[in-house]
Amino acid sequence: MNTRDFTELLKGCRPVKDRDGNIIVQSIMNMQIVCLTTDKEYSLDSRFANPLTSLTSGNRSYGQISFTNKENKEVILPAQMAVMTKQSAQNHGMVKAGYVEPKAQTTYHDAGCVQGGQTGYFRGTQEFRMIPVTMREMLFDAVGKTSGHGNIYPAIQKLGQDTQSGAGNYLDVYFNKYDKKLEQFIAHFERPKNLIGIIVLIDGEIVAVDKFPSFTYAEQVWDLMIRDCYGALAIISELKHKSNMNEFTQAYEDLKRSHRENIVDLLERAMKRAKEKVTASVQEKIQELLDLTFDATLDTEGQPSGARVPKSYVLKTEGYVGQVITENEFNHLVSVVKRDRFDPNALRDLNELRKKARKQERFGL
Amino acid sequence: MEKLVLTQKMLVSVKQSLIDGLTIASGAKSSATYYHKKDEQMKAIQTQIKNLYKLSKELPLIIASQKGATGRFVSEVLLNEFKQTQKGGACNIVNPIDWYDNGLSDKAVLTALNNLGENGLPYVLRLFVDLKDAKVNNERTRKIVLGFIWGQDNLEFYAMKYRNKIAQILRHTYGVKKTSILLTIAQKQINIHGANLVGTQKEIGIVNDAILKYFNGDSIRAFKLLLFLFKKDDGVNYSEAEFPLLSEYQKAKVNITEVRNVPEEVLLGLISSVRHPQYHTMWATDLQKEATKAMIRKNVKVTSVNQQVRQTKSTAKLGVTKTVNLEQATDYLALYKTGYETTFTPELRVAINKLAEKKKINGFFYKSIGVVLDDSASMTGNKNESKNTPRAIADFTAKVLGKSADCATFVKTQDETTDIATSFIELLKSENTANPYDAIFILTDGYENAYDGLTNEVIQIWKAETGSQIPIFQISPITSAEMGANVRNLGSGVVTMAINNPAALQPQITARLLEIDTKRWLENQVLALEAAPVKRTKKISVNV
Repeated sequence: MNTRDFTELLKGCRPVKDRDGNIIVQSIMNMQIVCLTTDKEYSLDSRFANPLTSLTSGNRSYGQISFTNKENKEVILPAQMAVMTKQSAQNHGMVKAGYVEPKAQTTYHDAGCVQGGQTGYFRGTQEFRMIPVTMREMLFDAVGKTSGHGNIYPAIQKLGQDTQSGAGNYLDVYFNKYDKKLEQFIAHFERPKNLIGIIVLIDGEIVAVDKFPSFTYAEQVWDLMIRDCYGALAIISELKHKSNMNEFTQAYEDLKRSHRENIVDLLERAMKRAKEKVTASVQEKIQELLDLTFDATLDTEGQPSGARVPKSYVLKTEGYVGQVITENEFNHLVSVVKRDRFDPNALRDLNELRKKARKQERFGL
Repeated sequence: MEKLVLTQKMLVSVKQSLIDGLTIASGAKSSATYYHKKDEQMKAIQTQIKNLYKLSKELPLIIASQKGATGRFVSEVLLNEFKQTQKGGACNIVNPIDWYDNGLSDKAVLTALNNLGENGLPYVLRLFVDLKDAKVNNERTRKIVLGFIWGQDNLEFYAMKYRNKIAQILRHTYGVKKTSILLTIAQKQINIHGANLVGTQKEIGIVNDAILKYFNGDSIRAFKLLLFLFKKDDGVNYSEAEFPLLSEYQKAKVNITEVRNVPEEVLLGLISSVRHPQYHTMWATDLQKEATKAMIRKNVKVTSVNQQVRQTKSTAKLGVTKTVNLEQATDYLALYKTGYETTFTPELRVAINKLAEKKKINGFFYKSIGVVLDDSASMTGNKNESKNTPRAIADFTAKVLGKSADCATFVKTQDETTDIATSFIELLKSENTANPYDAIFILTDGYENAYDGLTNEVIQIWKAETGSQIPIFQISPITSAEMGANVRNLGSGVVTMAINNPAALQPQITARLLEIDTKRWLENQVLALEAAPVKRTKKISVNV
């Protein structure tokens, strides 16, 4: 086992900012996303093939998925993809991200069923969807568990409760209930050019971080990530009647009390202040993660074992869990999620204590 | 016309439906948006039309007759109307005596049909094919379809360009049996070589009823066109004097190299058939195909300027140099999309500028305007089906607005995400205090990313603090499926309208005035329909 710092995982990345240097934060209800970008040289656009069109999937027993790469390029599977097929077969899902060599086949035995009572194996299908982000934590915890096929059921049951969809062991029940809403949800976010990663916040706390291999790759998976993966967060927020922030009105009211300038100037100042406030808040949250260090465990189940292929590590630390696909210290794909029960305030206390400890002088007389 | 029969009770619901209906009519397109697929858009449009019809059957037709209504909307209204029986549905606005007995119903349908025709003949033909798919063939529909097709001045050209489609429509309208009878009579008649119709009383009756009642020309010409449409033209002589286009088409069936007046797609259809004598020398290999396409592109003279503009990229790809007089183009979408896909050359800019000048709204209500233009990624439309369409509509509308007002200030959103609120404040900062804005126009699809509702917050505060009453219009180049084919609203302080063409702008602004006196507005529309010079048949009597 070795360790990985959060700063190292996202090295080369930076948040997308507006012309005034504020972080661009897109939001719906209490959910916000911050897009990450990087320098062109760190986006490996020509190296990897499109995971959604280059792979076909099939299986020969429950709890496994094989991916066949028909392209002459490597493919990195995004974290936790599901096969939701119209074939008379049981839908399956991955509990992690993966890697498939050019013109090769890889089989993952730690996959799981996502459609309880349905029987049958699927083959040659590209009917891929992403598993909702709220299931991520439980799925990452199941990486490497190859006995049986029920790795994903508990997470679907939790999703069913959280989203009031009564999904049971059937992920398709959730999608069937919310597909239309999820489609609309795509409309709320725009993908900036040169996107390399996404940070997702709920109620101002970071709940998920994704970093992709290239700008092209990010473009290819954007719709699925927004709709299938992060969409669940918005649905849960809506069910909890969470509302939009009104930072601008607050900033305006504050300024109005102390300034007597022209109304348009005041509006401009309020807008600037609101954006700065949002930026500061996001920066603060990201800052808190910078001190995180993950324990990294090599994940070998299904991943190709050649000396020159990227390696997969499962990442764990207090409050966060995830995965990185890395090669010679270059991180192709990172996927991290906050544990549901984790209270970031605990991390704050911990960081505070660490900082104090660093400041203390060594014992001496 | 008698007075409207609209009750005060109904007025409230009619008013809101009219406003919604006008917005949908001006923005409803079948093409997908950045966020929605084609079938979702279509479903939303159809539902809205059915709701309007349920409220009062005249409503959809009145809206479909407005200038600027999209082809898709008009088409769906007419399809819905034709599906119903003539007297089906409740007539709650106009007195039924006027609607049915005094021919207002017919005039409304024909005005809408002409409106559809202004979007291009393919729209009308598509509607007629939809009638076949929906198995609609009642007497009223039949007469309207035949009147429209046989009444076309340029039927020879259309017969060549849309041969199969028109034949399909006629076969459905006449029915298989009657089509067969008409073709037999036509073949018999052209062998007689006389200008007058010779046949039994029954035959003359059928021909008169099915064709000559609608056709402006002699019977032999009609028969030759009919035989051509149904591919029964072997041995029929199409002289150059009488049929300049069809005679060239006959030549193209043997040799396409010197053909100038047959549309490109028709020539490609001919040469791609293995039965064409030149197939093996001009179309058998990829290299031959490219060379033949280039030759056809170079030779054909009947391609419209708009189509030539749309072909800019492919013409260059074929290695053909063709000078297009961009200033003759009337399709702004073609000009803009060419610009986005290639580059905005100085000639293209001049052509766009001149077109905007031509399309400017005369007597525009507002003299000094501020315009915020959303330039974010979502304005590029759906990747596959309508790339760049919303962006082109917004860009051109902004230009037309600029030409229509005496003074206009423009602000474009700066970042890739939609931050309209900041641009709105920038616009306010740019206002000339000596010449303040009469109105502000925000051209956007309504999808705010900064955070949903931010623009509304800014507008609300600004209005409350300044007491400003100036109207703020949100003009959307798309309607959203999730909004029931209506516009995604930025907030309560803005008036929303959808447009697909700047021509829809003035009627939409005027339509806002209907909020003041809905009944008067409706009365004016019905009076306009009554005065419309439209008839089912262009030819009233036929001498046989």
